[in-house]
Amino acid sequence: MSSKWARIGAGFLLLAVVMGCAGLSGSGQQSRKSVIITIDLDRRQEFFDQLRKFAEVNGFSILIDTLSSSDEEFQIYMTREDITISGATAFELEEYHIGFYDRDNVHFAPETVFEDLVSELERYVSEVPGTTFFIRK
Amino acid sequence: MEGNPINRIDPSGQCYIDSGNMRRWKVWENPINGPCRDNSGPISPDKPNWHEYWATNPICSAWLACTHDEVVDALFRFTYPGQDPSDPVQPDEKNFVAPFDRFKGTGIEYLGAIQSIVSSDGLKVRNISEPTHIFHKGQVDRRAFPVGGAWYVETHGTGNNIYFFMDVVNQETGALIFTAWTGRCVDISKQIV
Repeated sequence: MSSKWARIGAGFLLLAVVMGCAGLSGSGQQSRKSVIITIDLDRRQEFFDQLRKFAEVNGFSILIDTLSSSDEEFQIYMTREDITISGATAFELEEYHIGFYDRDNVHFAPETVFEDLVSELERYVSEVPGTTFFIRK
Repeated sequence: MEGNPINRIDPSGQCYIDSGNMRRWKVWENPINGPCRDNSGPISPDKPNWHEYWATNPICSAWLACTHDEVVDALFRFTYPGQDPSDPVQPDEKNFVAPFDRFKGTGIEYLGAIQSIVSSDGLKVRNISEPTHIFHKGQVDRRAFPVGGAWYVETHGTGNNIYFFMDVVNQETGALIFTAWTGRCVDISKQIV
């Protein structure tokens, strides 16, 4: 029975995707700020600890989780009522690409809030030896 | 709060309800795992709600003699289903897969939110589900490779879904969707030639 409903659901989703693709609709959501952080792999846990401290101080819930491609690759996701920060390892295990986004596509936080968060994140992760912090945007 | 924001686990093991948008997605939570189970950790076939699919599709026939750069360009424009080909993926851009991209500005689009990451040589792209995505947690890796004078794209989707029935839906539709999507890329390439 559950298999039947799952197949119906699958068929519905496939139809929805095909219909969705029939009329393509514009771009995604640009990051307001983005950074590339390179870490010393021997200090990855310290890096994660610093991210958690940053999240706690700035009111974010945080998820640090592995990707399915490898237990050595990670996804980072922080969210609070106005801003989401998300990133992941980008094929290189020591390199994290992290973007700062408005929580939704309707309400936009002031630029200064993003600038302050980037500075704050840099301050926290720079306490881990061997870390580089590059502001891409 | 150090735990998984979706599963609302804090270090003390308490379950909390987010007062923000997360509440709206509660309907999608997996009734088997329960709303407060921490699903973080390695993705594995040994864990519940596993899905995995493969698809290998031609992206450029030998007679078209596509160059490396042209294949990279195509991969950037057909990274995820529903992408507007005139709008290639950009670094640090959050994207929304079809059909949720049609609802931008409503909050519903986040049910299809992904991060797309491109390798330095441009021949590999990785779509990672955001925790709000109905197929979370999962990812799709796409790799372009030459065979003779032709180019192919291999698509590999994996994950342990945490939302209602989505592992089955993902398993049933994943390869079909990406095969159809790659076919659209080929059609456009032929029209250009």
